[in-house]
Amino acid sequence: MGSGVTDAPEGVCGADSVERALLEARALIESSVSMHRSRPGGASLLVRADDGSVDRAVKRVMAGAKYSAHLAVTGNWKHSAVVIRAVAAAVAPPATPRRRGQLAVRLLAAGRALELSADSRRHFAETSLEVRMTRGELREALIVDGRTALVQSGDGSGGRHAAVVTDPAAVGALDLLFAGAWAVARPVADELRLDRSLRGELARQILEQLRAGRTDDVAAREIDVSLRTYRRHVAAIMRVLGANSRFQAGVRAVELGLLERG
Amino acid sequence: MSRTTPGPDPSEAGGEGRRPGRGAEEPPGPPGGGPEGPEEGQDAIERTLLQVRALIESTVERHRNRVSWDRQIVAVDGRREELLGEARKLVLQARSTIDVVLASGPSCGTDAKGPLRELTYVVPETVRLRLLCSPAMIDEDFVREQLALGSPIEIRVARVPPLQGVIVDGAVALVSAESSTGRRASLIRVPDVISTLRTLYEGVWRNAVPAYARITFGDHCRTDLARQILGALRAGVTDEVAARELIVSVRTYRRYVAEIMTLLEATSRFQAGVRAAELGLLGGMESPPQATKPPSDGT
Repeated sequence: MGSGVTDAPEGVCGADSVERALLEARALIESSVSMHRSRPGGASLLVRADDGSVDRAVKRVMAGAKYSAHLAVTGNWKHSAVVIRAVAAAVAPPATPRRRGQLAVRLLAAGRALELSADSRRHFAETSLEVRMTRGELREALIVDGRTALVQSGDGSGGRHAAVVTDPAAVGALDLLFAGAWAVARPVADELRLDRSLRGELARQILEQLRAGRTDDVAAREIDVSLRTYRRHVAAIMRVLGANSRFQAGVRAVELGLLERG
Repeated sequence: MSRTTPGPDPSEAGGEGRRPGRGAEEPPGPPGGGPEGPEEGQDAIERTLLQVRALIESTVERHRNRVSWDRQIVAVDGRREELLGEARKLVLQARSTIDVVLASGPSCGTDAKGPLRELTYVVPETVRLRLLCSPAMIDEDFVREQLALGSPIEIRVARVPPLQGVIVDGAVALVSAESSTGRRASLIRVPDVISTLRTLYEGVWRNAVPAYARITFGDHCRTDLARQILGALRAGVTDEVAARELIVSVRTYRRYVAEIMTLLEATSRFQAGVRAAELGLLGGMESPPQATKPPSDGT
């Protein structure tokens, strides 16, 4: 206990025991401060951004962005809008032109086709923005330059929390898996086009019949249309898919994710 | 940190109103409501000391949180043996799931396949083991070996960037990735990071191609001809055109197509297209995984 008191000011030798104890306590606190400062790493590999401000966390992570920003958002519109807005604000064209070199922004969204607000679009104007859709779930994540990542904390239903990760291997793994998911995701424009033409009830039924390998006769009877009508519908679907043959249509349907995997 | 109280200034010892530096920011409780004791009988010094104590206690708490939080991501030795050792430890403690991603990169070649094969044999059958491989990392012998077993592990193939990792029980992950500063590996226990890794893994897995059917198909098919026919079908050309290109009669071509459809268990051409695409028999994976392997065995 007494080791830290050597630097106690002179002239207090007459101090009583309470005072001595307080001075010792002070010295201990001072040595704790210096121990804390010299902790290895200094900056933590992982910071909880639970001050309630995802905005601020996004801004911080995006501050040093030079090359790429990879953003994954969930199908929860309200949530994703907040995050996208925060990222958009962070890349918005600054008053003074940024140094050359365009930031590549990849936005991977789950669920329905994502439509950006006009504001966000304007903000992203100086970046090269690509938007893709994926089936299935995602969690909100933002990976910047493959060096820093911001991941959603908790289940996303409660408060909005996030954790900032700078551990190289962890961020690397997130970024590489993001790239893997990105490679098999589809451009949002395709998705919107398909939404309009192939996600209707009838188209879905016909795709199901085709997928089941039924003959046209059986399929037509099954969904209660004439053989002629059925074939007309199939031809229409093939046109949307850009297919010249039924085989090719099957391949395209898989590639476009129109069929659930069996 | 610069807000620590200035010098001791003993002359003020009896004075009133000495506040701890951060009193305003973090009042330890209602005024006078120290951890215990009645308000009377406490003079200003005692109150202050109690506040200091509360402050120290809350700081200790904060420090502990930070330390435990820091331990949730630990960089580990990136050398092969050390990593395999860590992976083995993790795999042995698995209770429900093991998700593996194995993609070759500059510093992780296909020679990692052997040790991995050994690891799969220590996994109990009650654990769901999924193996996501890049095409170069698929070992056909291993796949056949698994097929021969009663309950083979799930193996899928996808184009994955160079990353090796294992996620155990959705709770711990060991990952090793190439970074700008060389190869890095970490042991991760942060639930949020793990969940994010897992959803991304699922995304790749969902679109990846099951390994077994592909290899079974290859084993039962005159692959060169099959590939040409699949190519023609994929191109969407008519049977007449395809037959002419392959220099066979239309009749023969149709017989070949029928054979392929049988192998794919398809009853229509649309369905055959679906199966072929799902099994990754078309494009996207142009080179057969082991094309360069010398013919070492009799298969």
